[in-house]
Amino acid sequence: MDFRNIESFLRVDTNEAEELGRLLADTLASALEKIRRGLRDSDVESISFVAHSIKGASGNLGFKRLSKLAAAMETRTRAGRLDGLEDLLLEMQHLLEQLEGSLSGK
Amino acid sequence: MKAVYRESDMADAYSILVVDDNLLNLKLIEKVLTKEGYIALLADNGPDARRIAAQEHPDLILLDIEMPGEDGFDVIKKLKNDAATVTIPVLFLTGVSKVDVKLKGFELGAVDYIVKPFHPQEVLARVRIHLKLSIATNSLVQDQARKLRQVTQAQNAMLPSPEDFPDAGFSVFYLPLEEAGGDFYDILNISNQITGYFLADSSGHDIGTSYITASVKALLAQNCNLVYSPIESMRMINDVLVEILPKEKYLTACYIHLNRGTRVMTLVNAGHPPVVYMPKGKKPFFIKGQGDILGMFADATFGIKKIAVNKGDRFFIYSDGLVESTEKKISWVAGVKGLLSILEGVGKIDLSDIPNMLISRLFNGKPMSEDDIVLLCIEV
Repeated sequence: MDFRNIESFLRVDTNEAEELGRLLADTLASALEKIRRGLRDSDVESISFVAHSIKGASGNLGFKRLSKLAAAMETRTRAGRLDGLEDLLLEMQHLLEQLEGSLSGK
Repeated sequence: MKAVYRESDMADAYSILVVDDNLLNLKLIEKVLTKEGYIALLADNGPDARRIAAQEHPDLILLDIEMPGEDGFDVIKKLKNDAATVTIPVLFLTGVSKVDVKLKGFELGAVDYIVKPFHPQEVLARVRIHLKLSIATNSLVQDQARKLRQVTQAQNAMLPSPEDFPDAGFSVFYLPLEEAGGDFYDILNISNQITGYFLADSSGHDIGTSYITASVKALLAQNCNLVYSPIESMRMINDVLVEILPKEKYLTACYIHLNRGTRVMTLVNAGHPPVVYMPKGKKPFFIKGQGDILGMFADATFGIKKIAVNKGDRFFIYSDGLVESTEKKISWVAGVKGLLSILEGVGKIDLSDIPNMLISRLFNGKPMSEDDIVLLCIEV
């Protein structure tokens, strides 16, 4: 996941793409932390709310993979399920690291 | 989270209030809007959104539905219940594509929705189209209001004032319920000695009614003259109105033809409330005259009375709005009795003061807005 994708998806300049990319990275890091807490507390409702938020925000910036993972997490938790969330969380974490890498290596 | 509130330097640009608890979405939409020259006002929660909407009155609101605390449905409900924000178009943003969620938004007053994730260009396109619609609606409303004001002015110009007819000896109270009143009166100088007093109440208060008023005024000018007797004048007018009025339209009317030379007053009644006659120094009473309404039947017959009058005698003609009240449950029959008892006390009061005094006593101050009211006071 590279912040430069935002540039072409939204037709913005590099600085604006970077600004949005950083905001997404911060939001996502905070969201993943909330999901971890939700998993510890078996709080499906708060995980669902956070996943819903990531789904929209990442989709709006053109990050389809992250949006799909968040959508899958939202669907599961809406059905009251917590199984399989760890795998989804790991993949999300991986995408976050990719994004942070692109931001630091620019 | 603290609400974010931004304002651009461009005073004349359209302002869009964006409401979303996700800062990333706020930032994204702000960027897209400001790039296109819009002013973006941002709020990340419902109460702040409502406060900004009431204070800044944005041209459009983009409102997220799924928010913690006060959600988008609560916000739109409150916006639509507040006179300061009710007319602002609201587009809701939702990540839920279920039909019932969208329908609920529409039922609460939203004009459109955008499903998340959205492409910013889609947001821009929808913002543009709803601003266009809003501008067109506002312009239509302004245009209609302007036309209605013109109708009011035109109608008022058609109603003569006592100053226009110093020899006619009358005073008047006229209060239309809406811009285009259904009540109408006219004064006709038939000769040096003869004056005609006409008062009508047409069904409805709409714009169409004001055209009827204009038509009747023209018909009166054409048909109330020395050649035709009062009853002939009314028959001529009725025949034309039967031809030109739509099926559901009609008038009740009263025509007083006063010859000061012969001191004969001729009254023609077309389904109108009875005229009050108050001979000088005596108690008032009704002159009842049954008759068909105007403009409905080609073979209509009208009530006619001829009365020998003296100097100082008074007549009062009025529309049913003066004596009827649905809200106060006052029927026409009860209302006219009250009118008669009040009129008993106006014998020595100057004619020009009677209308306002009578209205004030009948309505305990200001009349309620239930119907058009017209009262014509005539002195021989």
